[in-house]
Amino acid sequence: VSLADYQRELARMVADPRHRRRIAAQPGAALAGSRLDARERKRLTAFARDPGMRVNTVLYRANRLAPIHAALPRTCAALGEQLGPVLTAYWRSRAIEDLQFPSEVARFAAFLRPRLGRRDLALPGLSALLAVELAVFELIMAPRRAILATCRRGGARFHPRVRAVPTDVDPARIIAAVRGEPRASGRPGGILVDGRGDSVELLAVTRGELAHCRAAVRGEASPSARRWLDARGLLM
Amino acid sequence: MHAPRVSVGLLHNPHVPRVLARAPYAVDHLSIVPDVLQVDRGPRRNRPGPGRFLDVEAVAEPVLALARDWPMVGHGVGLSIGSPRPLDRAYLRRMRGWIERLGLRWYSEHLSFFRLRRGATAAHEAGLACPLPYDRPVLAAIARRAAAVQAALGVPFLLENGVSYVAPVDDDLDEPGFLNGLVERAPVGLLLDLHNLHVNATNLRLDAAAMVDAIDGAAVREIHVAGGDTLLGYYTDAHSGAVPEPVWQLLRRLLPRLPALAAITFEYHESVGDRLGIDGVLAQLDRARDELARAGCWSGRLDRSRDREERRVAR
Repeated sequence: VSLADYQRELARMVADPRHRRRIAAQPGAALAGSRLDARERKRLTAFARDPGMRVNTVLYRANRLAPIHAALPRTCAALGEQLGPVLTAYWRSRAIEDLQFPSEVARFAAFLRPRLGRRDLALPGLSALLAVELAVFELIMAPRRAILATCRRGGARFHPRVRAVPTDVDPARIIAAVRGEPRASGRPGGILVDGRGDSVELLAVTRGELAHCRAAVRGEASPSARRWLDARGLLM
Repeated sequence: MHAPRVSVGLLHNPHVPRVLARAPYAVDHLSIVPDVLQVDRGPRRNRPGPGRFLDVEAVAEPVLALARDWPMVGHGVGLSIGSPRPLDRAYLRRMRGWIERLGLRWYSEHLSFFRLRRGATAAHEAGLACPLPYDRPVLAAIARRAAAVQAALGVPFLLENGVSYVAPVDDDLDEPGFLNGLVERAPVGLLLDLHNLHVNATNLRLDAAAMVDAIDGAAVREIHVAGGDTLLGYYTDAHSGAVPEPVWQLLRRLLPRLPALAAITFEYHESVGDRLGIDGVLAQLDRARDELARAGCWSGRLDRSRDREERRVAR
């Protein structure tokens, strides 16, 4: 039990500089809740006072940022100077559970989503950009062959390898942002995140076309919508 | 002393296929991290949906294709052998599956811990490979786990020395003493990361040459070399470029007494691939071969026959 508590205290010290400072200043009180032998207590106190511990904290944060930045690079870029405060708040709100990419990305997205639109994060299109990057990531990570094996062509089901994402700004602008291209401007609509091929592609659609897709997802596509969807291979 | 034939290769990353396309014969083997080829949904019971482990096809399939042309070795990051908890048998079975699918000649892991016992905190991972205290009870526990891992995997199992940015406090053993103790007590070999050793020596003001001299050379099957960077005044194992000269000097010092050495692997992070360039990567492999030649060792691919390679490594 002692080694398990020692490891947990060490990990907590790596993740939380405030806890590290508490141990450095008042080790007796800061470590009171853990079952540690005298040597483990002495070690943790020495580590808390060792400047090398700051390196561990920076590396820990880099490890936590890596999956988020890999999956949501343009969202991170669009957050600009707000990214740092958002990440700090996220890390403080949630201790790490694991570094599996999908779960860490999903946790961060769940943290970020309700905050978009607040005054400091009221960036036009950011919500759609997040949704598109999440859809791209989901399609890349999903077991493509297994999904396709369960589907038969010729049905009325919306293609399981395509996601229809609504946008509150011109979708071309979001696509340009995902691709790192200059911004375009136009009317709101939607984006098809298309994972049918070997790579995931983005396609801007109008509000009406988006409505066709969303109706098909619900299994309620009208005959005209089905014709439009079928012509583009979006039904299975 | 018997002069081994040593394979010179790369730790796979998304930049490596560009190196392979340009100079396929320059890379004798690939070291693969199976953990990045899959998603681990966690060992929780009664989880709805598909099983615990899922292949990430977009990543796994290209690597499976490479396995047809390049001998591969495994380098896991998910075992947390230093955690005082039962071994994750489902994880080991999954790794054995990758060993079969990729034809991995051997499998290595890090001498560290990152999984935590659940308890007062919701967290159950440290988010960082944390260093272990080099104490005798820890050594005994890891030797027991390593023997069990070896038996579960079915191929030679190697343990890799780690990095610490804080000075040890009252450890029973120094790092070479701990590594030697492991190979005495368990049927495992060493993956000696010379850059990690250089990082520790630099930051903790240790004598790197004395450390390599103290390590049991007969146990070393694979060597890692890499480059690092400076952070907050510390030298880090960032895999951020070319191998620094002191690391090559350590290799030169060691090579004459490594009879079981089978591979030297250069590690770099894909984010520095363009800066390092394909020529820069190839230059590291050339230098490793030059050092092997200087020491009178052969360089060449791992045996196509896995059985033969395993027998050779096991010797």
